[in-house]
Amino acid sequence: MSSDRIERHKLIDRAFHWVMAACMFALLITGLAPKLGVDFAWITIHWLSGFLLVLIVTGHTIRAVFWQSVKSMWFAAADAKALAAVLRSSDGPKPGKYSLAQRLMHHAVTVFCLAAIATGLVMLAKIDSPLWTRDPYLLSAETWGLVYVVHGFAALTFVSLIVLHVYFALRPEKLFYLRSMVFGWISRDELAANHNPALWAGDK
Amino acid sequence: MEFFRFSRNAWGQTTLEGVSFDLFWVFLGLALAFVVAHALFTTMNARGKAKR
Ligand code: HEM
Ligand code: HEM
Repeated sequence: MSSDRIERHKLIDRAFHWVMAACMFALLITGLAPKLGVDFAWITIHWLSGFLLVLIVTGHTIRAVFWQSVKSMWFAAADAKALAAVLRSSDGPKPGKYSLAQRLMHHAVTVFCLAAIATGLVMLAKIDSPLWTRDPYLLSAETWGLVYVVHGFAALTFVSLIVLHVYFALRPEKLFYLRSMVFGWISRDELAANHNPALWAGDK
Repeated sequence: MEFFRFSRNAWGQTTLEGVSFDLFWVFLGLALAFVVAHALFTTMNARGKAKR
């Protein structure tokens, strides 16, 4: 990579992001459309994309912990200053690799994704597949109710999160992040204008 | 508006079935409202700054 281009997302991480996005859209459409009156044979597509999501999220987590930097995604003392600056609508301190808003988005996605995965895996007991037979009496009726509430609530939350996420990805001043999620790099000027190079100056 | 779905059996007992999917429109609407408000606010703010 030439010296004016700073590596932000490696190919494997970009691939993870876009496969996850595809899974998520497939899960939302197959999960919600039938409930909103557009019925079709949705359940097989739904649980297969759910399986794919589980596989790639596991891979991403292992990679993030052992090969990448968990710290770059976690909260830091500077976040209090960043938050105070937002409230005063002034410019706060420049962040390391991820801004506070980007990290909050990531944590929200993590929490609701894990909730949907945990409940979704249990809900597999409600359906038949070539690999197992259904057992709707695995849980009591009340417990099933709670499992469905959590699964459905996570799905609805994703509707809001994705609208916000796509809006910010398409805003003119943030388009360079979209380029970095497609081609991997940001420019030296974009780094200087938006990040603190002492905290993050490109991935190695 | 309902927040949850319940089923009722022959004895009149109700069982929780899940969230109410009417809420889909609330989650979508609130997010779109934020987007519109944010877009308007940032455009107007930028114009105000440009004039000053
Ligand atoms: C974030 C991702 C996901 C979203 C947005 C989502 C969304 C939904 C929705 C809205 C429903 C209808 C629930 C209801 O009737 O109350 C549903 C059902 C279901 N989901 Fe998911 N889901 C996700 C992930 C998963 C995963 C990871 C699995 C398993 C691997 C899974 C397995 C199932 C099953 C088996 C059902 C059907 C249960 C039945 O027949 O009643 N889902 N999903
Ligand atoms: C058309 C759809 C999408 C677009 C255009 C998009 C765009 C982007 C971009 C440009 C970034 C990079 C920000 C950076 O470099 O720091 C990003 C990061 C991320 N995306 Fe997406 N994305 C989409 C769908 C999704 C979906 C469906 C999910 C999961 C629900 C998701 C979850 C994330 C997460 C967790 C991050 C890291 C945190 C952040 O930077 O906000 N994305 N996305």
